[in-house]
Amino acid sequence: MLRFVIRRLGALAATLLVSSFIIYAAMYAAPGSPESFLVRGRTVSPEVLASIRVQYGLDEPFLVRYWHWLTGVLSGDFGESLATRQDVASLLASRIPTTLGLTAYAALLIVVFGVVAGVVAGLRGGALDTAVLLGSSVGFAIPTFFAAVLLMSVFAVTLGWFPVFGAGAGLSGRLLHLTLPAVALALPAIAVVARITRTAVVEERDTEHVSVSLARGVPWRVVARRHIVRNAMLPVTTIVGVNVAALVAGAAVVEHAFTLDGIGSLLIDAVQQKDFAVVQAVALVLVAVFGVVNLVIDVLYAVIDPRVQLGGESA
Amino acid sequence: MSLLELDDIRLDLPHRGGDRALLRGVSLRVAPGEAIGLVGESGSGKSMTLRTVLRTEPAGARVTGRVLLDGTDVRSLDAAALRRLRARDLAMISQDPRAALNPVLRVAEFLVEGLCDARGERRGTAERRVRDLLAQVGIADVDRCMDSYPHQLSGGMLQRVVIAAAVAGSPRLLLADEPTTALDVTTQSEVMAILDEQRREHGMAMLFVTHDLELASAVCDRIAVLYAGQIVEIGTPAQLHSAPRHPYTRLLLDSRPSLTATTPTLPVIPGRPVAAYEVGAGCAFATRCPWIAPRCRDGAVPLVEGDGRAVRCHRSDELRGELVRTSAPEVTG
Amino acid sequence: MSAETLTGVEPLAVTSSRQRRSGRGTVRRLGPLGVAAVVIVGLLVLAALLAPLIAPYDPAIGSVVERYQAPGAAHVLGTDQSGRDLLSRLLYGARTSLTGAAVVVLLAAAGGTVLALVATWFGGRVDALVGRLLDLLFAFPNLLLAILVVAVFGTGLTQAAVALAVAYVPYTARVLRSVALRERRLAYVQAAELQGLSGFVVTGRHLLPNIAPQILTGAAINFGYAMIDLAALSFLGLGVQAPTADWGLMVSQGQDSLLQGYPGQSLLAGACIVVAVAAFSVIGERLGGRRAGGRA
Repeated sequence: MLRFVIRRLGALAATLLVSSFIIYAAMYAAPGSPESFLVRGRTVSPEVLASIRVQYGLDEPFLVRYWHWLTGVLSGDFGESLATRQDVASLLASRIPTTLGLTAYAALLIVVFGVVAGVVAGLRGGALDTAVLLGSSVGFAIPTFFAAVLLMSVFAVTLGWFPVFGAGAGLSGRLLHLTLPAVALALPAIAVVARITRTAVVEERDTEHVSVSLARGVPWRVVARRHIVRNAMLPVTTIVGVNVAALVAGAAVVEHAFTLDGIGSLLIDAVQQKDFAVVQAVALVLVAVFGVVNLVIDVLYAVIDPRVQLGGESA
Repeated sequence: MSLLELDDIRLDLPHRGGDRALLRGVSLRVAPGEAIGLVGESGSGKSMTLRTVLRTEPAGARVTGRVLLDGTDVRSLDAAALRRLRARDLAMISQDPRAALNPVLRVAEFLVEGLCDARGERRGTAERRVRDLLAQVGIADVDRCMDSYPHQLSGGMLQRVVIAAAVAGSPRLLLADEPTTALDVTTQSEVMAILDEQRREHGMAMLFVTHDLELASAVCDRIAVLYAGQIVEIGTPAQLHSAPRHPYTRLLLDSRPSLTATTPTLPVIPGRPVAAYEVGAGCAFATRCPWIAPRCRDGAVPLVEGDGRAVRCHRSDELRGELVRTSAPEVTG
Repeated sequence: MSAETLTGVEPLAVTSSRQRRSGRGTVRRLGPLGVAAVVIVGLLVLAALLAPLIAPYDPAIGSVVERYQAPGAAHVLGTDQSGRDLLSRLLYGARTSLTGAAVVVLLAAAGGTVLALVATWFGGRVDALVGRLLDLLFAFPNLLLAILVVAVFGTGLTQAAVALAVAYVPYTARVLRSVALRERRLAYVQAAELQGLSGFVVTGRHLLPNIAPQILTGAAINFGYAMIDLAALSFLGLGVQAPTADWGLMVSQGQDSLLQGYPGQSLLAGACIVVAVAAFSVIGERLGGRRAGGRA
């Protein structure tokens, strides 16, 4: 197990290295040079321009600049925002808690509502099953940003139950402010997870080992818990993992809609302002988090399914 | 008094364009401690007969007739009583042990579940008993077996585990559905011997489903031959082997290669097996029977008892001499 | 799109009676929900095609005097914050939504198919290289990849569509590669290779037609996702730019009006997206289910 985790961490580091190069190169290739951004259309003398280039290290060759950036990143220095002159690392640090809270909240909603709805629908069947199937079809088709606007319209504007914008202060204030965004972010994933959980439970219910247990006189409650739900959790773990990992980037849309100051909205603003130092930093952080979440899911899967042979991974 | 009595069991499965009959009136008595083989081709209804006893027939199936276990009608029990009956009096051994065990639980969980969760026994006593039984069914390293997951054991080992689990609750009736078919040929006879030994030792009755007449002959007291959802002949292995009364039984015996007699070509039963729902008026076997007479095509044929056996054939008296097998090997059991 | 074209498996030369029967068979396989989905998609395509003819107003021009009009005789669905006719904007919005998603799906299918076939045909190092490339793309969350491509190439419908296509390629390529690989191992393909047919011919004549159903199913399923993601990019201000009519952009632009108590624009545009995506996903599901059922 430990060797598996170490090997996967190594692979993740390699992926991050290549990704960092791609991200940096992409921003380098993007139209609009940083110095023209810095002078903002003002006519400046060539001497001033040259001093700016030296100040920001823009006169050096691409690979050297990449190397400087990379070594900086490794020591926690992500450079300086071109738009605000702020230190990118401290900018990230101030933005990450909001995104973390939002995605954790949404992940919790996905697990609780998606999995529970799917399990109940799969075990009980009947009208409840139809309701979950129908609800998941509709929920899947609702884009996150529209769910955000819809929730805002109903619960914030019309009913006034929740605040419209902002992240709130204090724990209860934060929870209150993050509720609508988290629901909006989780809604499509809840639909998918509920659907897949239901299918997994129904399939598991029809397996022979379940009917064998029932035929031995094991009570239905025990069979449902130990055999049906437990086994159905294997595919469900995968799909929950995929959806939770996708929250990492999906949060940007919801943060934008609710004007939350997370790293997602930071990314969007930076792209629109062509503030590439920030884009690079956020992209790298998101790829890293995405990779770590996926790694955690793989390990978790290996823990709950005894048939997964971690040693055989390299073959 | 018989332990199990099947009385005119009929089973229909809803199907597009009308119901399909799978069992067309199966009647059978099993005495305490008696082993009865249910033999027939696939689709003859032998497995379905077992499932009506355990009430695990497919969803939507309509079953009529009575299944009496010690005089209690199994078919009319409520859910709680059925669960108690399954936990206490019945045990099932199915074809594929790999499918019968939950792949993500340890073997120990499977073994004690039938005692602890189904019968409410204490975990400690349950574990002691299944350990003894595992040793009895020939598992050398009991500890390792208990700690294993199903995918770590061979099919033969798993079927021993299933047999141990079935025997653990000292049921009165074992239901075995082709318990060795999915196993390697080399382990088949070993597992079969263990099953037979355990059954005799614990004095359990058994319904043994197989397509293999020889195998049934080796371990059963009586054999019921099924064709198209009906029993066509019942008798002891010796009776069936030396003097089959139904043409189908005779052809079934002939179509098995014999070790003692060398035949130039292996006889096969002409035509293809008829499914129960395809049977029209008259004898179900009429379409394939070499001894067919005009009257075989109309009117249902009754199962006639006599000489401690029963047969469902209009011409069984006329054909008695013709169906006798001269080269029949000696059968003991 | 009619029910007939969806059949796709009937030979071309069929008698009229057979065609009718196959049409009825298709209807039965689609089920009532599937038929409704096909009708909705048909209506959307019509709306997009005929927008210039049937739209009552110019979608880009409005007058400030007529802002936030309630639905009525002059404006069936009312007007937006600039006094533009909402019905007209929704009709024109169908154009960007459908063509954008179509471009995404076509590019993703083309890219995925080429990668899958190249990897399958050359195998060995090329296959490993393609695999590494896909792994690298999988390391990026979908939306992030699209946002980065937009950051490089700028905003706009075309850029956003290309960006999403790039984000979809790894998924398409992975599925098609496994299908193509399975097909290539079959005896008849091996036989064709042994006969000395060139790789190009074998790939084109044997592999491509056999993975075609998967390409089609994948495209149908991706269409719904593409509409959502494209609308999301527009919502973020990274896709279609004002004043072009686009559903995602309309939801975004309507957000301010909604806070002032005029939810019409956001809700109508959002509802259009939901209905369209649901219709496409139902069709994709039926198409996929049927193929899978036929192969099981």
